[in-house]
Amino acid sequence: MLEIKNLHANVDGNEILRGINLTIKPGEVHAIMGPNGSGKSTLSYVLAGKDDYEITEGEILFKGENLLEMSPDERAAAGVFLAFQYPIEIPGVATMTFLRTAMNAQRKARGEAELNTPDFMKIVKQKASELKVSPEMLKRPLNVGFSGGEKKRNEIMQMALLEPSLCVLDETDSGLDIDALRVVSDGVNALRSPERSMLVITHYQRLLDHIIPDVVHVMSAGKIVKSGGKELALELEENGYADYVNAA
Amino acid sequence: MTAQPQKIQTQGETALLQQLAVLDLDPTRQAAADRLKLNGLPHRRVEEWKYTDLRALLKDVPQLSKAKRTAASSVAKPLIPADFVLTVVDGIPQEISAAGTTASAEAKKAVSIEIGLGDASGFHEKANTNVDLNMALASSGFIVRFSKSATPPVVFIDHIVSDADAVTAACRHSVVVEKGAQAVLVERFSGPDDTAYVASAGLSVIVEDGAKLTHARVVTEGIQSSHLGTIGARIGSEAVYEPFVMTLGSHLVRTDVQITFDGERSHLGIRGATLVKGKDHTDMTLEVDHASPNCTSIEQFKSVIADEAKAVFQGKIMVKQIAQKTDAKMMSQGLLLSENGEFLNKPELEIFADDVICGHGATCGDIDEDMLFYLLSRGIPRPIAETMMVQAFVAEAIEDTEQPAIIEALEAILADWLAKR
Repeated sequence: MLEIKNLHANVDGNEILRGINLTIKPGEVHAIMGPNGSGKSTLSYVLAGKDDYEITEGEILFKGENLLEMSPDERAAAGVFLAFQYPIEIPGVATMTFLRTAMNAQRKARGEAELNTPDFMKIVKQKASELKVSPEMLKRPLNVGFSGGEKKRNEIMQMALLEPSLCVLDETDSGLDIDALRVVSDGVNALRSPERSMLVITHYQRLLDHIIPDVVHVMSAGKIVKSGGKELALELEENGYADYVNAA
Repeated sequence: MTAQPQKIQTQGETALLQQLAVLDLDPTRQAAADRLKLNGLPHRRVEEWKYTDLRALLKDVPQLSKAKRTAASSVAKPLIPADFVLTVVDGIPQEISAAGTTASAEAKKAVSIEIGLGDASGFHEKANTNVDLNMALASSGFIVRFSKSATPPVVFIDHIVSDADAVTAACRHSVVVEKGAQAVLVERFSGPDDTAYVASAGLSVIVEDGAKLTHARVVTEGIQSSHLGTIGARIGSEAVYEPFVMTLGSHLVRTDVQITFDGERSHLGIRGATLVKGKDHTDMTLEVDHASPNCTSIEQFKSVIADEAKAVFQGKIMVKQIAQKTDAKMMSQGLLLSENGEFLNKPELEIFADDVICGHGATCGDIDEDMLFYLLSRGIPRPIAETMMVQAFVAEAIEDTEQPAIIEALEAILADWLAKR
């Protein structure tokens, strides 16, 4: 599904990613943990195609295609989805209009017919109720005035509607209370399937109690310094990142 | 002997003054013509015209249209469903056809319409070149009075320029909304792209005590044209005036809006959207005179600038010493879609009262990259995402309009402009 080979990326001349190697097979859930500033969010933005980053070395293959040659919207249509750590507020763009435009743009890019209004409404209402996104929220401008939890639920709802094959979750647990964490985790777990891979970025082991990963990676100073099973997360929770920060 | 400085007349000035000289003008028109002759057209060293050098931009003033023409194109669809559809061709008001109206008996009773030159009582007393041009050039228009009715009647005035040789189309309407009455007025200005015609559009508005007028002016002139628009409005006590000015650019658009609060506890909500591309030049110059206490006003303007176009906003709020408890908020925002576009944003407050709330904001920027990236990351292609961002930017001003039909019409114009950009 996803193959990252020796990826180096700079921001304003500073090297943030220093040789990432990562392979995710279809159906796998990988978690990346690491201290602040280790490059976790940068990796997620590079995958989604934000243009503030300069790729100096390496490549990313997504379903065998060169991801770095694709524009952000092409990546989305191909099946990459980034759940933002800080979802952006867009005043003046109604949530419903946004959802419909996004869904139909992706369908069009894949050569599928656009959704008609009744079908669209039906599917949005269903996914919204599963993620406890109220009809009132859907009427508001995108993310404007949403609480932290509402924004994250809105991200996962978009993920459920767009049905990506690679879900990148950037600190989806940050700013969530226990109940919201459960709603979001249930939403993510409902999307687990043999055809869909996930990359879950987090600081804390807490999220991984709900979304059980197949592989856990530790990232430090722009590199993956250790990989292991889900028990690695527990070990980190116990001992902290100190060993790895020093190792890097 | 003192040498008199000899001012060189531009071609535009010569064309203007020559045709005014041969007209048989009444004293009011003559006075305006005399002022124009004395001062010439204003240039960039005249403060109010600093960013819009009329002397340089108004290259010609074609002959005033005299003959009564009917619209070359069949009557276009009104912008919104209206009780009365009035048409002005080349500045000349057309006979009001009873057949064309869909007005209810109630609306017919509440609206009186005559053909005639509107007065200028809504304007400020201080001389203004744009107003003077209209005073000198216009000889006719519609005189509309609204009296009290259960539902506000809707009057639509369509201004068309025929496809003939370039003309100067000048008219001035006056609208009075009588005590306690409510009304909706929509004006549209359009013309051919292939002639450099000049349109001088005057409108004097009186909103009497307890009355309410919702007004939209939509300027969609031909690309080579020069549109010189004026709106002068006086608001009585406990009255409400809600105008929206939508301007699509052309060679030159300058709109001067002058509003005066004549009574207490009244409200003005003036909004506008300007969309310019190519080498368009537009200028919205607003002067709000809070001359009475306890009034509120909101001034909200959005400008979208593409290509090498230039948009100017000059907004002045004057709060007279008597006008205590004034609450005025002005905001003018520009969105630049290109490196070479220009937005000149000049808000001014002049406050002589000490117990007031007044604020103004002026911003200018390009499309927010983070917002754009969010839309792209959901699979929305860049052109569509940019269009959504522009729509969102302008919608903020449009959405506060109270009439859904006007909102719909303005949004359609915006969508059409974006599609053709």
